[in-house]
Amino acid sequence: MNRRRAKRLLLLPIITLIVLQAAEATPSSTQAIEYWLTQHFVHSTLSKEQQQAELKWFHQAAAPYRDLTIHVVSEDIPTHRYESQVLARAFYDLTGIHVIHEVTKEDDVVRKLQVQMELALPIYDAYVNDTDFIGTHSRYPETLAISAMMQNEWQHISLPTLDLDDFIGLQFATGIDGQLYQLPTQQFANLYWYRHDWFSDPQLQQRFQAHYGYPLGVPQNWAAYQDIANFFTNIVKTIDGQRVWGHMDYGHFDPSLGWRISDSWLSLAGANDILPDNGQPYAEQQGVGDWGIRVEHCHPVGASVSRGGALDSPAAIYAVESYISWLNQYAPPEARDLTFSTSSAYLGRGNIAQQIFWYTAFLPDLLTDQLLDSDGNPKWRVAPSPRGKYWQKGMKSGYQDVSGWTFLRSTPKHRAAAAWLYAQFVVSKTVSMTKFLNGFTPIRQSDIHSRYLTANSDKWGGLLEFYQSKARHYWTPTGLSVANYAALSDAWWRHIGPAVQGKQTVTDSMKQLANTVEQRLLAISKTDDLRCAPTLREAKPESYWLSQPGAPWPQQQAPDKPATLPYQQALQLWQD
Amino acid sequence: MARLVPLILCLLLVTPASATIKLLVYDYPPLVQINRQAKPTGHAIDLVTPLFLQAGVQYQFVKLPLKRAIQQAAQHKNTCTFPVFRTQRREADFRWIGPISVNRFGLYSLAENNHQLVTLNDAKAHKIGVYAGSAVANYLTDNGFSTYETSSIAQGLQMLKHGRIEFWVADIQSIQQASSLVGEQQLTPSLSFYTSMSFMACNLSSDAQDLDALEAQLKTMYLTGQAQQLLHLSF
Repeated sequence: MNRRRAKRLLLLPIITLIVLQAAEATPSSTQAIEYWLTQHFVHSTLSKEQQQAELKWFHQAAAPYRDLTIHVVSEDIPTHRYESQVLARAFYDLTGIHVIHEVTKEDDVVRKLQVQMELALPIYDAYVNDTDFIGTHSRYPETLAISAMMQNEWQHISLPTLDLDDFIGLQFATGIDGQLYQLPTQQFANLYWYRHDWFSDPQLQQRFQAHYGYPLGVPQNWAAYQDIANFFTNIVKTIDGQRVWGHMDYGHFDPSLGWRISDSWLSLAGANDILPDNGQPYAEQQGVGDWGIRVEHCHPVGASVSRGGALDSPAAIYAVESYISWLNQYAPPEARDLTFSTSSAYLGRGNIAQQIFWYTAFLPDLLTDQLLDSDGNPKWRVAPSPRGKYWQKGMKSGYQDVSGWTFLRSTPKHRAAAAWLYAQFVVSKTVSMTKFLNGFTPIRQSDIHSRYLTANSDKWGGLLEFYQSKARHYWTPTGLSVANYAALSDAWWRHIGPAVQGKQTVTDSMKQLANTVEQRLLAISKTDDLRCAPTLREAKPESYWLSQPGAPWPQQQAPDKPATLPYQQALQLWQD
Repeated sequence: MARLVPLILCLLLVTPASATIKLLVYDYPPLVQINRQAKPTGHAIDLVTPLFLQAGVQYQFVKLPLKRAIQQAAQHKNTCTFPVFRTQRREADFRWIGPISVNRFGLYSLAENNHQLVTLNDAKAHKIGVYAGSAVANYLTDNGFSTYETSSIAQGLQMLKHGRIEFWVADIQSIQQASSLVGEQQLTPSLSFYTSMSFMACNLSSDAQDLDALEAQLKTMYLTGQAQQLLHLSF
């Protein structure tokens, strides 16, 4: 052993000790850890010792960024309010990093993200952005691939107990290249919602059976949903002196109208292809994905039937015609002027019998006295959404909103690093279960299957049962077929709006929508720097594509035979 | 006499090719400041003026109150107004060019008060003053704050000086100017909490070529850093 090497070896334990001492939590941080663990993060799948170790790690890893103020932004749902108001403060107490977590309207988040991506203006240090953007983030060079960063620059500031395999939404945040671009921080689904107490009322059951010839229950298809909507709106009309309605939706002409249609209506109608096998690489897949866009070997090739897409297909037209007709016939008249946010608050009034799909992020709005029974449990339930006549087994069964921490290259590196620490904190096992109890948007398998949440599942009307089942894989966010979400999304509400207002037919609206989407895909391919760029196919007669296997599906004249199931049997469908 | 001052404050002819776009502006310091007999000034004016010149689009400034400006821009061809905050309800009514400002708002107090705020919620127990009708005022209302809305920045700052409010909401760009209004007492930033972007809202029937040219030119101005400089952006 040479002397220089021996000296180095002698010094090693001393250096290690110095490093360990420096890394030791300070008395004030120990107090802060104790305070947050005993007063706030009481429910966790980790033991208290494991939680302490996790929080100590944050304290130590954050040392180079102490006293930094960073800005992050997310949409306005209860989960993000909890992050902004409670978790940002906890993170400050534990790390000294001051996080300004702004909560604003979804369209404002998207606009700011778009501005930062296009103009390289570092407005925020991180965004909580829906994974509906995964087709964008993984095609454009502006977004950091988190999985690559974790193996390189962020390796030393990546939480050893982050446990990515525990996240239930990771596949939705994974791009066309297999890299992770967004770290899920909340998930909620669009599920069928109904008044279980009314559906269980023997008198109402009897009236329904007498009128329709089959039992009142969880509708399995749109035909049954429509019958139930008609039953409550036009036959029952009042319950306990209150006017009641058999259907709820919203139709105000603004961006949230677009989400309503693009999120679920088309997929529930059965406009798209059967979901591809998860194991198949994206580059090998072809078929019609979300928004009726046909993709071949990762390239979007068309949205209209004439190019093999399904946005103006018979199934898509049937979806939007059903949406408008039911909004007019069965929903409260004011629903036509409500939006994403205001319609959810409306449901809390307690005069709606069912909603074809309901955003479970608004669960806290429905834990009101009016909608809770004497035991404090909901009078309502969530169940699998009924499907339209084109729907087939293996197709997308509904929409799931997954939001993930997203980092852009234009953010200064040290600020992005500090934001990465905050992002990991708000999804860590120490806080994730408590966060669920404040927003009901689960992200971790360990929480979903925990004894504590399972024991309390009655309080959430079927939400936990959905997330404990395999069904959550078939409720998917907007997928990789949408090459640039921000550039395409406004086309939805701009074209659907005139049809809702009765100014033009649904067929015309959908033809125009498909045409606009294709024009924009063409423009994107010419002007933008992106991989797997759109390459529009040549147009062919629609009859060609409608006679090919798969979507776009040909016109189906025969209506569905209405079918319902008792609640427990309907839940079993999730398990199967 | 002042009432007779023409509404049209400035007319610049650049090229004879396209229609003149009426730019309806209202007092919204520091983005737009209306000076009765001269052309309007302010950070957004500093950006918009070279934007139109460089895009080769003719324009004229017209002073109007906010509500009328928005109404007229929605109704009349080749008319735009700024600064306007995009909301879901307004989105369908205009073609939007921007951002023509990005502002970060904070809670400011007199240095002697030494308030420590970590999250916006910490300020709920305090009296807050904010400029009436601003986007940040709406943001605070949406977040459950009850604020004192003032008709001018000077009024709010006087309330702060005399202890009638504990925090004044201002954006970073305007705070230096505001400090001078409270005299020798220093304003201290207690918490920056909201970022807003404003846009130019243009009539949907306006000449699309002109608006495309403006949009493209604005992008160039941002990518070269010129826009950030004119808007005094610190990020």
